[in-house]
Amino acid sequence: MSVDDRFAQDHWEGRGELPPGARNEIITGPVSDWATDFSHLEPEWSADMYEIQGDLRERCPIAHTQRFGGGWLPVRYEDVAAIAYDTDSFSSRQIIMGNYRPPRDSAPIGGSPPISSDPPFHHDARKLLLPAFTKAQVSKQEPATRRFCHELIDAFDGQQVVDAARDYAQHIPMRVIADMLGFPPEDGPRFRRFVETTLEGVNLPPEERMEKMTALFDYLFEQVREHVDHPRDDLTSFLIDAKLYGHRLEREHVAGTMALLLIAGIDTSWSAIGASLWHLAKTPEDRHRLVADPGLLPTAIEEFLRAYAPVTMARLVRQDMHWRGVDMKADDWILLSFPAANRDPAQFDRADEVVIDREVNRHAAFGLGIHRCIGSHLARMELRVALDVWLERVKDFTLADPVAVTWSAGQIRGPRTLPLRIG
Amino acid sequence: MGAGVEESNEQLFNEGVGRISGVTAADTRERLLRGAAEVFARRGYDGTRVADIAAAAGVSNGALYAHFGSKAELLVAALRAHGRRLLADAFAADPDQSVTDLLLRVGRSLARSDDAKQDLLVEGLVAARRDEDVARPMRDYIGERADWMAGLVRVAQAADEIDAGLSPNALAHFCFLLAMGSALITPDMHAVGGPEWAALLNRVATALAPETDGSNAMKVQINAEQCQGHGRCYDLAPGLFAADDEGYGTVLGDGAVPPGKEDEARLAVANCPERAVTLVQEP
Repeated sequence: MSVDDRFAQDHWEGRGELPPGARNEIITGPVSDWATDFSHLEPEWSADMYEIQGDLRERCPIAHTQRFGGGWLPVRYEDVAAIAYDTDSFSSRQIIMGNYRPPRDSAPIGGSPPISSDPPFHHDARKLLLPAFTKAQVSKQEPATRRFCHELIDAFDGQQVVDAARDYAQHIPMRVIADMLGFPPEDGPRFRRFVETTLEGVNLPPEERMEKMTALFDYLFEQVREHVDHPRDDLTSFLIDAKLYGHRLEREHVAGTMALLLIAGIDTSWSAIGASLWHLAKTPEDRHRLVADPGLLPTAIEEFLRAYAPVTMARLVRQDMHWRGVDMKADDWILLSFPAANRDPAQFDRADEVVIDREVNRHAAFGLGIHRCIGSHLARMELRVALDVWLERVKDFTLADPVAVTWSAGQIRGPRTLPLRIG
Repeated sequence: MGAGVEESNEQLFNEGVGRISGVTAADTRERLLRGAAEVFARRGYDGTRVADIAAAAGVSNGALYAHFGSKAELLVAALRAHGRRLLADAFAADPDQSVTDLLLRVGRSLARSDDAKQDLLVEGLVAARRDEDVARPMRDYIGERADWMAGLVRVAQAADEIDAGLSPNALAHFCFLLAMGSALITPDMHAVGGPEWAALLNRVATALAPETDGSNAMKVQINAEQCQGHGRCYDLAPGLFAADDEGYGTVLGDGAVPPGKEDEARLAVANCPERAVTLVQEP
């Protein structure tokens, strides 16, 4: 079959139209009180996230906001875990907290399965992908990843100061996921725009946001059509051919999952690699210890993941309910902060310290329950190889200008500018 | 202690024959037993005359018979007083130590056993085959030793070191056979390397331990309902866990934690974000 009629049209259905669903007034500007008016999209949030959450844990501990049409922010580990496990009360049909809620009947599939899916569909959509993301499977990417990390450092070429976020961290997951999806490696800069659009452009006007999302899906369908014509051994061809309940996947399922793998695979690892290097640049004793004892790196990585967990998820409350002392309304957001859970002193000793040889570490950086990050084995491989190669090649590095470091806004937190002095 | 006995014997023989005045009956009895132990071990039961022992002890034949009714009785009494008692001596030296460790330590020494004191035991056993006069007291003697050893096994069972389901008598018998065998098959007849012998004994000791005891009774389990495939268990304890085709954790074999893997098992438990991995003590 040379033509796959799922992808035959040049213009996919709904292109250029605002998707159906509810939109609320967009409220931006300084936060008056984090307990009653929080926003994860204001610059103060990314600058002081841990202090804000620590303060809320003392006095709330479930914060509220009227922004985004209403939402809640639990900051205790036990609350975050309870919500992650309770898929009956909290739906995943939209996992980016913003000003748009897809229609309720978009559940249980959602726009980007399986992250946007609820049981029972979730299980089947996820099962399809699991074999491609096992530890054994992702280890096949390791030699190429290692080579690529060396190339990135080769390119520093005598510079005294490099931007470890822009010139190193971001390229690693971009290259790996491009290889796995079978996308041209030189498209990296476009991926970066897609990531910013999806995760940081949340407060843009709907039309502008829609335009940017259209660019993403145009690109994805272009890649799909190219794979329909030239099938190969990669995730895109796999998704095109995959079957669920005896049928090939819906066009929206294929594109939604590709969007998920592309977006979720990039700035998460980019953030984790960047945050780890930021920590090591400002903590010479940890850096020296890891250079002297690379065997400690896997343990240290788990601690970096705990302390600097990049990913916050979101849920939608299914129906009005009284939950742990607060009155939640149907379609209220839950900002599901795994970073907050990971720094709860009720769950972790010395929760606010980075203890690189921490032995007991049940952190939730990759989530809890049925939505455990499907790329966690890939992320761990990327993080380990990225840090291993960096520590082998660079060894001595410091923050060139601590105030020049910038952090991303929104649900994925990591350094976006990270000037390091390496010479 | 062995050296002490040798020294005393030497001293005793140097003193020569003749009644030594100023000694008590107990002293005399003790001299006779030492003399008997020495002469029996050297000449064998059949080759020893009662007069030889009296001479070695420096007492008259009459004095000897005042203490012991027969040569057979003297043999077993000498055995009781001066026979090899490796376990009892080791136990007395440190009554608080682990019985399993004690058995292992003594067991290891059997492989290089060439203690002169074992000759007395061999003579007793050989004589008992031919002479019912010896066999009867020897049975009593062996019975006492076996009972003592069975008591030691019970102590170990009470301390949860040895499986309480095992018969103390059978295990005492087993240990006894090893000890007797080592007295007969000495290293100059057949030898075994110390490390290989120790490894074999360790394996036997492991098999004797109760299922609830220590490392070998620990089992890891994964609650499949809770496991979400984070993979911390097979990252941290690859000898105990593996990934299935979808990345969920599975327990290797029956989950038994081999000696030396206890820390890995604990790490896996301590790092499972879903608390799906548990360590259980098998009842």
